[in-house]
Amino acid sequence: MKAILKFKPLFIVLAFMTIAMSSINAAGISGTFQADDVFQYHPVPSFVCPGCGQKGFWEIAFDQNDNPYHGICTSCGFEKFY
Amino acid sequence: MDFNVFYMKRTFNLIALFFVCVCLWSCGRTGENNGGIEVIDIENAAQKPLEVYLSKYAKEIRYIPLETSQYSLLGDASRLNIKILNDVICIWETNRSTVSGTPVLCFNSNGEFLNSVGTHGRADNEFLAIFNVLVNDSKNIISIVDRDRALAYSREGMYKYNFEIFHNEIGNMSGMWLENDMVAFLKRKNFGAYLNDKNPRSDELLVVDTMGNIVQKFELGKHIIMTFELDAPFGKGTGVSSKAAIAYEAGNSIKIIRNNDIIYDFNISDWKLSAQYQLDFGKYGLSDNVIGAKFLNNSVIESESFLLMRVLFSPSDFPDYNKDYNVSYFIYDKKERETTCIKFNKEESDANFKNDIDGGMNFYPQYLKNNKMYQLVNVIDFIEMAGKSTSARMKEVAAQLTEDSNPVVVEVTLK
Repeated sequence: MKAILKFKPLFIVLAFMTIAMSSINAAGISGTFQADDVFQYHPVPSFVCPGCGQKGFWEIAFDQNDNPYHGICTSCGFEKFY
Repeated sequence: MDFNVFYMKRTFNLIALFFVCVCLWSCGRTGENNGGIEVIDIENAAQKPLEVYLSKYAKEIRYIPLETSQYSLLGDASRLNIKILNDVICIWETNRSTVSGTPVLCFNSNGEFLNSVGTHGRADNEFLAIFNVLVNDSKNIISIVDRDRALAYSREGMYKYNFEIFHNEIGNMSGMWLENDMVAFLKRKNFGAYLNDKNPRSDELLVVDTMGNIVQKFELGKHIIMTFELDAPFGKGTGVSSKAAIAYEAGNSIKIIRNNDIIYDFNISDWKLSAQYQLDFGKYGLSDNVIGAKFLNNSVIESESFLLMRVLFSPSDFPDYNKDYNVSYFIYDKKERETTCIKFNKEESDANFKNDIDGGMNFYPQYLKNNKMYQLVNVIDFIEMAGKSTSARMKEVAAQLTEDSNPVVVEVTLK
């Protein structure tokens, strides 16, 4: 008990940090990286969709290094993670 | 064995048998009409494709060349979308790259250019990308749906206001103006360039007012998802097949296809979803190994007399399926309660209504409104088809066009 009282300010800070972190998690700030908030999709009309075999509907998003990251067929909904 | 016990056992067995019979009878009844819901039998129709003649449902066909000018240049017809606001034809290009963007172009019913609507840019009254265009006939409003908001313009192109519509779609979003001047639309949840088991993808039908306030919300359930490894010829990566909810306009109401097996009508007077049709994919349905046959996005068109739909039988799920029919076109006749798979035409590499009205080009609609169906055709294809056809009107229109002309709108009036 004496030890707790001795380090009272430290316990208060720790308690405050725990509450703050749980609030941030609940708000989703430190949750899943919402990739679609960042990526823009660009049409690649010549690509044949592996899902439906159609041309003209494929759209692709690039990562921060300009590598293909995610593709989607806007006709059948088939997706590819590169 | 005691005599009374014997009779008690026999009576009990008879009662049990009676209940089993009642259960089997009611199950059988449910299978026939699925509790009053009409069944669209995709599996059986897929076995025997048939030609469907345009005159069965339509009475008139018109070819409308869209005026070509420096202010009204349109690209390839396969990337164009069409909607009708009162009598005005609104055309826009599918382009969600935010680098450039063309506005919505308005033409009168004879194809003369009227004006453009919307400007590409980052200002409050400008759009970055077009995810759909929703038209409000009673207020004469054209609203361009951007990534997370809708911008409302007058038909003449004057900016009015904008409101939040967070649809979270990557492709074309689905939505419509309701009679009460609210907008109903489909929202994808946790959708995008990631898959996360903790936050599974799902859909919601939302109704918002013109301030962006959510007035009604319906949970439509989780997506069905299957993943697998991809390799040549498509390149290494992870493939994702999924089934999500679909929404489409039908007259003044919005219809929802949930889990790819039930079509619901959304009634705005009591805010209820009521089941109308059950889709029976039979052996082509969802199984442990395959996602199964499913509707293509933005492919369902409904009139008072029929439902038209494009169904995907994926080559990866059904490798032995006839390749001409990997994307099949089905029509459900509401009066006859019959489903037909429309026969593939090898010469046209497509499945269309056979035009027996004027002997012109065959037809498949991309939009239906006010008892009229519309299709956009590239001018080169139109001129070529006019040369082969016996339609005097089609030849007459083709004679006025050059290879640089805008696409032609084919308008079919239903009976």
